[in-house]
Amino acid sequence: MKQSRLLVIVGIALLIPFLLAGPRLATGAQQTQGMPIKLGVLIDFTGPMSFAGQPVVDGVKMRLEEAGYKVAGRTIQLVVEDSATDASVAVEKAKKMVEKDGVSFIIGPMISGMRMAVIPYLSKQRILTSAIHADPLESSKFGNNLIFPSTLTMDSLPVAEYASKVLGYRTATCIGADYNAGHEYIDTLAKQFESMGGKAIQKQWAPLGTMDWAPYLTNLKKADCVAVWTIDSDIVPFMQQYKSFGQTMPLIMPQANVITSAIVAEKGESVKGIIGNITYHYNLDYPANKKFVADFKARYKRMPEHHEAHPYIITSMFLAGLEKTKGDTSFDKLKKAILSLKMDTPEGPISIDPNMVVRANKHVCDIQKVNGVWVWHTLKTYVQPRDPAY
Amino acid sequence: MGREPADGSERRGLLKLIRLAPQFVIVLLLIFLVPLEPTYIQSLATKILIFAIFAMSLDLLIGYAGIMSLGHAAFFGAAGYGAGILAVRYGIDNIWLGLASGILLATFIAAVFGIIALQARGIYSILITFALGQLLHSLATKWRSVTNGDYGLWGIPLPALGLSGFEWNGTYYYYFVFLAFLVCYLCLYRLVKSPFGKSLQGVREGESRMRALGYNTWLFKYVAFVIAGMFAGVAGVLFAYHSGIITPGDLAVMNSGFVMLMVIAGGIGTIYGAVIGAALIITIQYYASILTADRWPLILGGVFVLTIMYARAGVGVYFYSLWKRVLEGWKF
Amino acid sequence: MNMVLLNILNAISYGAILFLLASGFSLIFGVMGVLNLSHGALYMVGAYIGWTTAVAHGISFWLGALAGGLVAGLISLIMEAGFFRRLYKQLNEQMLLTFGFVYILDNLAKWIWGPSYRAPFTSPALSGSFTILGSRYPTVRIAIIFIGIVIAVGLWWLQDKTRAGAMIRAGMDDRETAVALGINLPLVATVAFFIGSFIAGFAGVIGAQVTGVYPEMSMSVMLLVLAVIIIGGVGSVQGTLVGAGILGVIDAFGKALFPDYAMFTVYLAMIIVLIVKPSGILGRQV
Repeated sequence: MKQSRLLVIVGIALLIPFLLAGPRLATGAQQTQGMPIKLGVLIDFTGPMSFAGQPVVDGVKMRLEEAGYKVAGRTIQLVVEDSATDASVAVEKAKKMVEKDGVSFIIGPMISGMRMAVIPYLSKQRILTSAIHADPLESSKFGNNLIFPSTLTMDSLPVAEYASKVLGYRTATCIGADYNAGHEYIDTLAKQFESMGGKAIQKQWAPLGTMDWAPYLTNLKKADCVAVWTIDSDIVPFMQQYKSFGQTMPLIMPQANVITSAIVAEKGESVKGIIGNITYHYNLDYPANKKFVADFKARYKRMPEHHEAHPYIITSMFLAGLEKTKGDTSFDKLKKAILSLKMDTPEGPISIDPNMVVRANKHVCDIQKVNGVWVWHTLKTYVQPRDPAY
Repeated sequence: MGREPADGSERRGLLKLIRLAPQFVIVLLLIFLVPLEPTYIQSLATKILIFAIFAMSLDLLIGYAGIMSLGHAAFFGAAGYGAGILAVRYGIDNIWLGLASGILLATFIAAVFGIIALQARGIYSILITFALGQLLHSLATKWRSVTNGDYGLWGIPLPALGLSGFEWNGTYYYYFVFLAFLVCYLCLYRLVKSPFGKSLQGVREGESRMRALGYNTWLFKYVAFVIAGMFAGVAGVLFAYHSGIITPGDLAVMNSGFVMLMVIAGGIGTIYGAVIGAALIITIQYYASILTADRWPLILGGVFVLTIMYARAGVGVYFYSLWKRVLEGWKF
Repeated sequence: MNMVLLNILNAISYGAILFLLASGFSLIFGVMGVLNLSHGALYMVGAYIGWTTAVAHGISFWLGALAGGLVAGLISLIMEAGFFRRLYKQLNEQMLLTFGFVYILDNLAKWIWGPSYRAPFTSPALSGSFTILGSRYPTVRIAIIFIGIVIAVGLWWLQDKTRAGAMIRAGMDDRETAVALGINLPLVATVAFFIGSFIAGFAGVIGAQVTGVYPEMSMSVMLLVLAVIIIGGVGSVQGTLVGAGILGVIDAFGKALFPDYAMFTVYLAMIIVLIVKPSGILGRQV
């Protein structure tokens, strides 16, 4: 009989998770006055994009701490979940955050593909969400997606214009990471470059995780410049090998934020020579940024990257919207309030178009040594440029 | 026990019923308890049932045919893409067409891969299946015009049942998946208990002996390989509709390893073991990742290592033998 | 002509890294019969240890490489003593165990060193480039080729010219006779496991000069190892050399000639070999 008792105990133990979840009674917190507002962060802590997880949470937490975890008389609770660099896991977690935790806003997931899996569900549930580093314009059709800091187009347009109009480059040879993001950035850049009179004379595609850039470097055709984009773990070997193979063509890069300030500081000598499209770097000359950087450095003992700055700004928008609605988290009111925002942020002034696309400054930068430290250095600021597609 | 002793046949029937008690309880729970839960739990239950089908199909391969495979997710993913492409690229969202196309695709690929994979035996079949799986993964990543590359094919709607006026929701889909699971379970159960299944186990335990007895062992293994691929395809289609997105990662070796974890944890060579393994691994992963967003792989890896070291026959088998002993204790 | 020479050098240097990666794995598999799926994770751990030594603490790069190898070897001893020994002769279980180790080692590395990418590092003496036939070629790569040659020669010498090597080969070919001849096979296996893992950790630091270090590399590295093994065959230095060489050539020339389909040429090569000679070009017949 002891064994049967054991079996019964084990059987009940296996049921506990289901019983604890509770029947339909508890579907999300009622968003009434007096109850806490829940802010969700859905980001990758595991899988290939795991470098994003902690920094994003750090950025959000810093802003919430500044607000004392309160807005419009209500307290704010943070709900953080791992999206595991897997779209189906992201959807699962989103469901849990909406139905169990009752979040009113979800920051993340980060990767566009994963976002496109989650946004439709959130839209049906009437929950707002925000991109962290950009989204395709297509995602605005769901009506609940804050496209921050811009559409993907704007990650390359400014530098394409700079290369073509300011530097006068006529031809470009391109190297991109052979996956969706790489193609998007490089194809978009090439198209923009050509629409301004230039010509992309060659395109090479390297698989992710390319350790060895030698084959691509030895096959580079001569052009006015090289347009390159790949992820951080591949771009540094690329740059080092670029130099050691004796290549001297100037380099332009869309979405150059993948080369973080930390990498620039450590490897400045190797990576200098790139002119990149930068959304955020810690030397941006805005009053809001000076304060942000000082506070961030004091708290986290390191310099902020776009990984932290973006979530910080998004959280600011969320809080500002709630101030306007006086704590009302209902979808229509909050969306309207956020759409009406005009703010000064560490990235400069922002405003939001009716399709929820954010208009933020873009900076074309190069890498220089300033006060003994290698940093991104702004060459030209493009003020709240607009995606020509709408 | 104070019961009147019934006559022979009634007692036998009653015996059979009691022996099957755990299965009955579980099925009843799945039918009645789950829909009372919030929809995100239903979603989890749906995922468990889908992976249960996936795991059972792999168990047919590993546990019964004795073929180690690190590329089983290829069939799962390919079927998912089959249904997904039909829905997203061609606007066909009829579930029967989706299932048919996915299963056909998975079976076809299994038929081709099987010929290559069974060339060598033992540890080399692992290498071959791995290479073939990764080839398909590479194809899915590169063929962006069809598969949408590494972003995955998003926008897969819950498919139409073909009945006018019928509106899907998560709960209905859960029941559909549950029915599919029951059908697959019964099919596979019958298959492994059949003469074919028994011969298959004979091949796994001593291939040269079986060949000496005149069996075409290659054919047995090949048929098992293809059938396993077919059922993996069923799971893949259901998964694509459930997640609304299918990505190259669903084809990759990590997913193959993940489902292998389930088969091992639950108990190789038992169909129910795969089901329990699926429930166990997915539940652990889900709750562990909520508990600690960044350290949960340690928990999962730890559970796996512990299972192999101390519960080698599998957790499912362990529970089953417990139940058996209970029955004996009660003199059933 | 220049282009061809450069591509050949690319092929050889990439092949050298692959050889370092796969030689340890081949040794372990040949002697113990275990498919150590965490071999890539050991490579990664070695690279991290090398980084900590050379970059975080500014100590010599070569000491870092040694440290990387030692730590990887140590981990392998723990795996062997704590786990494999208890699953004596159960090869499938041992392989599955290594799959679990991948989860654990990957996450531990992320925990200790953080999930971000570490840029490539090397000894100051090796940074910079040679000029060969009018083109610049990085010194690190020439160094990698030399290191690969040294290790290959050393392993070949061990395998063919020493008693230890003879014992290892005997264990691989005919277990029963080897034991009957009084060879302490469990000790041989443990030593081989240690050496193989040491090479993996060491290779991690050497390879990091080109690739840097990041947590996800254990899986991508593992895939490369399996590709080398599939093509070249397992259990002999020559086999690994052939596999690494062919893969290096395919990678370099494949990317040069069919840039869009480079990845497929690798898989195609693997599958052709698997169909024609499943145990690999120089593999021992199964």
